[in-house]
Amino acid sequence: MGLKPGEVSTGTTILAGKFKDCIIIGADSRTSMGTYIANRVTDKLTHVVDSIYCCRSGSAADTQAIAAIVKYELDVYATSHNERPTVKVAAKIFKRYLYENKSRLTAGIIVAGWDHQDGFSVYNLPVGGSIHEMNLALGGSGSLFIYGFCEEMYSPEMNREDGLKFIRTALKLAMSSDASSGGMIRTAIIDENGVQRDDVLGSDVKTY
Amino acid sequence: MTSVGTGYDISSSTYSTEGRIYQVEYATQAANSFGTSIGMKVNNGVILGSVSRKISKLLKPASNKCISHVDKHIGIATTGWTADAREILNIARREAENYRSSYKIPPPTTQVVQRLGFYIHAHTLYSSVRPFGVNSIIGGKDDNGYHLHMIEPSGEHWGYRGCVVGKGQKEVKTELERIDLDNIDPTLAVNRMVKMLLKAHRDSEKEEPYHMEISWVTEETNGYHERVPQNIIDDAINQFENEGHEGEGEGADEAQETMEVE
Repeated sequence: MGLKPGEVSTGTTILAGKFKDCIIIGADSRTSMGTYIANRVTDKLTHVVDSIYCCRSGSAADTQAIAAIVKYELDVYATSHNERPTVKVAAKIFKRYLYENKSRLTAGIIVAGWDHQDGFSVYNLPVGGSIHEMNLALGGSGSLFIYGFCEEMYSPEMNREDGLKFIRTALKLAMSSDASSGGMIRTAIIDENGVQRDDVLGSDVKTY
Repeated sequence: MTSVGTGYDISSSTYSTEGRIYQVEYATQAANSFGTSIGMKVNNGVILGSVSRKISKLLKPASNKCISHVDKHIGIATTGWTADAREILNIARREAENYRSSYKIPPPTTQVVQRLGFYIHAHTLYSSVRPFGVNSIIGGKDDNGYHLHMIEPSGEHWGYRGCVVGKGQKEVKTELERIDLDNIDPTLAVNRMVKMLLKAHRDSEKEEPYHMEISWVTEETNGYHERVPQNIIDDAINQFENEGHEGEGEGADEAQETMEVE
């Protein structure tokens, strides 16, 4: 169906990668309505539960709603199971909503994080409701411009410094080529001890 | 039962003046008056077993099963009214299926047990329904290991290392308590279980023909719920019969020793 005329979109670049001892997720911060930038400091890295995050792309309204519903479902899961949900379960709940409502939604989501059972995992859930477990997941309109760079430069053996540098460079490249990606670079490093969030101001992002 | 005949025992929605719910107690009695079922959680496995009197010689073999699959990795053994047991089995399968469609992963045993217990308990709250006359022993495997649970007609459910219901309850329970359940291997445990079931049957039904079922979830079955191969059961039965005969005469001590193979 695509976006309605004037619908707010997170025309976006999102990224999530598995590295040696952590997961790093990253996103730009632009939210646009057509050519107008509705928000230039958006946070597209949304906390779901425990050490599980999702990166949102597509309709801002759809992805916010789904993230809220899944967060609620996982809270119920945690209380009824007396156990923390895994990234896998989180991703499959997202997938259920995306697939069962595919005709009405514009939402591409990356679910990534750490859990006690499987350790680090990254799941890509593109528009349509399929699910793909990946080492490195790319999403949003800006991702099209950086597939080549990512395929060439990414390695799951990178340490966290190199990983962070890689994610930031990839986002920078996408933001400079894609009209609907821009603003600042937001990142989150997730490991078994917790989450460390960071950002680079838009004025410090090098453009070409 | 002082309250019997005073009217307090005709509805499960009313307590007696002593605080008892007679309908639930009657259901428990009904459930316990059929065969005997045993559950054992052992080293790397969980085993379900059941023995009951053959209803009729004309019945097709294996037509009234009391051990069934709930899911690939969960099994259930029921004793009590067969029709009630079928209903419980259907609900258990439905709940397992529902869990799968919600979370897209195999349902943990405890989740199925909790949901089933909830359903059975709901049938003790209303005067319009009759409590289930069934005891269910549920065993399965998930990411947290092996699990064994029993649900009573009251809806009460506990996790067990070993449990038994039915006619031979008392004797089997004492014997179960003597087994080192945490360290016994599945195959040996099956051997012990067959003997306990046979003994329970002989104690109450004498030489009546019986129907026995044993199933397990172990490492060898890759975490799936499967029926135990008939030859393992037959071996145990033969052993039991031989030991039984020796028990009458001078071989009694020897027979006693072979039972203590923990």
